[in-house]
Amino acid sequence: MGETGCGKSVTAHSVMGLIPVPPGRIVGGTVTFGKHGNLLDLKEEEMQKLRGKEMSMIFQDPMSSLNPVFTAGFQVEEAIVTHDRHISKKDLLSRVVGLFKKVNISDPEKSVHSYPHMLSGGMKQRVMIAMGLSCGPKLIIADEPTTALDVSIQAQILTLLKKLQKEEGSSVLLISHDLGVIAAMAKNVAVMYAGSIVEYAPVSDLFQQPMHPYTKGLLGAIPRLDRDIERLAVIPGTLPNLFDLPEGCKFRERCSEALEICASVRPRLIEIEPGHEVACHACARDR
Amino acid sequence: MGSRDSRAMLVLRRIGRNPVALLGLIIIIVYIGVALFAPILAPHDPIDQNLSKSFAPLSAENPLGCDEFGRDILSRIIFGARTSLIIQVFSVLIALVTGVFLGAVGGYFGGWLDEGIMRVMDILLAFPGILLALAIVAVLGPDLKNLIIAIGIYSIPQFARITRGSVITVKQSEYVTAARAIGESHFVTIMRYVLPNAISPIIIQTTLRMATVLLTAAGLGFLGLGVQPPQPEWGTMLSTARMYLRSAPLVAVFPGVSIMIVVLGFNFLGDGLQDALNPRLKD
Amino acid sequence: MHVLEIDNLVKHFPRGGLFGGEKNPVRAVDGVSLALGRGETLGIVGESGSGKSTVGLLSLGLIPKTSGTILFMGKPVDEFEGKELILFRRKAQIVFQNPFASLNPRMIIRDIIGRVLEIHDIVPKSQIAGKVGALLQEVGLRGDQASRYPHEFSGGQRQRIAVARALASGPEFIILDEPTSALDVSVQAQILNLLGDLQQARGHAYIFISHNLAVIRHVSHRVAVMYLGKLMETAPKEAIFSRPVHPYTRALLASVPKPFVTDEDIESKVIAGDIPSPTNPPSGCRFHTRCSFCIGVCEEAEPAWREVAPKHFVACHRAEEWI
Repeated sequence: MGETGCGKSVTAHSVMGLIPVPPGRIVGGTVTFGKHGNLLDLKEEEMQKLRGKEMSMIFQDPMSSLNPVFTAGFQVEEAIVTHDRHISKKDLLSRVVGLFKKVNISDPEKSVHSYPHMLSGGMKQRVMIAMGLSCGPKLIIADEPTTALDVSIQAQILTLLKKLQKEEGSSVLLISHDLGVIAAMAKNVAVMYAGSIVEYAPVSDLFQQPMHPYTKGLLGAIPRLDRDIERLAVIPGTLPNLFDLPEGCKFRERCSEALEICASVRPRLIEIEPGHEVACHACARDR
Repeated sequence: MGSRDSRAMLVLRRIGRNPVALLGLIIIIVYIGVALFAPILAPHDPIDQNLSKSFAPLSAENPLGCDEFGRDILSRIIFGARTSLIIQVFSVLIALVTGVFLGAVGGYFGGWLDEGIMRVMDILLAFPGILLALAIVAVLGPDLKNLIIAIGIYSIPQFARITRGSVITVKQSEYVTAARAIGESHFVTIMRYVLPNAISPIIIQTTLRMATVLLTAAGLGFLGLGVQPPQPEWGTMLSTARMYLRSAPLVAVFPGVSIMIVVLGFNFLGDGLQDALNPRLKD
Repeated sequence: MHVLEIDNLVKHFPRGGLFGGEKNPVRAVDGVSLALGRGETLGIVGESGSGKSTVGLLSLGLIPKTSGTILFMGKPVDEFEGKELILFRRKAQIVFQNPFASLNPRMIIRDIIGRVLEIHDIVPKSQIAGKVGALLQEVGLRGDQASRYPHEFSGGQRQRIAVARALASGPEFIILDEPTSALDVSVQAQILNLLGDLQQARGHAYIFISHNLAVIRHVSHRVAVMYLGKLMETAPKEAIFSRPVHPYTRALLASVPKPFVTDEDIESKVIAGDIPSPTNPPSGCRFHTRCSFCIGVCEEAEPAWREVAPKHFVACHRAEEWI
């Protein structure tokens, strides 16, 4: 979870090995993925085999992530054939229809022959999910999967993702700026700010007992549907310039709880309560 | 980019990083310089005949030799640049002003006005360009002024079309709706909100058009309908030299090469501008 | 008197067929009646295709209506001409959703805001620069930023500039068309607070158009819920959020993920099906294809628009059962 420019999408793209090089470059760290070890050590061809099969991605904008000149069914077939060259034509079609059924696309036998422009936004996102599921991945990265959708359609897609996760047993890395979506979907939440995780906690802890001043600020800044708020809390200032990050804590200049040490030492994630990690000098001191 | 000036600087910087476009820009600067300072640069009077030097070979006195009347070819090329530049600037100016006006009005207001303007443009485009210019010159009579008018008129539709397309895209921007919401008149909306944002393709078209216009002028000159001798003009020079192609091929080569270099220069710059003005490019 | 009164407003966008044949028009707005009181904020909430933004553009006379009436201070908006039109433009303003698209990229801020002062002769020419500076300060920017171009500002700052432009002429009402949808939550909070402060200080009315129910709750005095070009329900804010009547309103409220962990599962509250196309809306009640309380009459007859409680209007055949 995080706002524009916090690095949440870049993190996800890095995991998938989808950062364009150049200009991008991974300068350090590791991405450990099950038995495959550190993904950053793998060659591009090896990553290609993992992508789509072991890990897949669902993007924000279903309007532009499907190719308009091919049918929806064909694009899902392609995803399957890439990782299973020996599948027969008949099996392929029945598998795609099966996937379409699984993601609740209306009239799946007919919809496989539809072009993207004939489908609604919600249906396109279902096709993307079908494509993501096609090879039974262990990890699904969903990058703002419902941001472009209407409220009622968002609820459908979130429900679907939850149901599929239960059935398929995949892990989901859900990226969102919407605290409501996070609260409804996540088990654990990492809050990002200016390129780092500032708080990491089980979802109920995070919403009931936010610790980092930034998380607290965000929760105070959203209008609520369940009650009236006289005045929204405001996080003063703006995001620091990512080209020229301040020394010490990146949130210090906007923080009401900043200490002297915050100006010089960048706080590290520390487990303050079981399972609840925070990168904040003030929180660490209070415990 | 902080202001209008630095936007121009940004485009210039981008051109500077593109060797082909930079070459184009240098060619054009040299060409304009030659045209402006022709009387200083030219070693001889371009129309001064000296039959004793008819087809004189290349020499220190006549670096590019002489033509059939013994006129210095280098001087004629230099003064020819001046004639070409005049034709280019004025005919493109006619086409630019008229075309942008018609295209902007049609694109902005739409409806029957747009239909009417664009059908007239279609008719103009349906004639082969050179034939249209030919017809106009034939009616008005061949001289420099009429040549400019003819080429100007036949270039109008290109500007009208490009402007219209660009205006239609810009017209849908929220800031144009916002301009109407604060009570701006249509005229001010077009002049201050629409056109400044629709200008990039028009600039590119202007540059590329300079090349086409030069070719058309040379073509008409070649057909004897352009600038009349003895006034030096590259197309006309090429046309007369054609008769002596076997005996004195060099006489035809120099005006031909001049045309080619200048046309290439404008095309190089035009292509470079296309990239440099692309708003999606970031520095 | 109401600032703005809309009665039975209809807007169809024609779609020409390839060979002249008329296809079904897009029925963007199909019989909407609303009124906006002085100093009031009316929230219009709806999903895509509901026609909420079209209502905004129609209210300002920025696009022609198909039928119905729009009255500003009792006078029909689409009959304004010349001086009257200019005066109306002065009194009615708009802030758009995308602050990256709503400011002319080739004008500096002083001109963007200054043009409003100039057109409407708000202050003498010599005082325009000073007045622009004052307006910028009023929206939380610095006066010395006036000589910059829009691209030098962040999204939130640009939206402040757009607000300053709307304020410059001292309007009676401002249409806010999803003014915070393109912004981050923390920036949204700043803009919402600013809009509230400005209304308190200046007393203008807002029509706040949004798809975000929580934002609508935060800003509105009264709320109108739209679906496929029609009003489903309008009521004072307290009523619509604590005692919603229309099944669509109730389902919409339930399907918003809440920013706290609840025991209730989002699954049980989902509205089934896709939003039908506004070119071919369902017969009878437009919501009947997705409504879990649909009965026979809903498919045939359009429900009457009626007051079921004080100031609480609903268009649903079964509304009385749920009061």
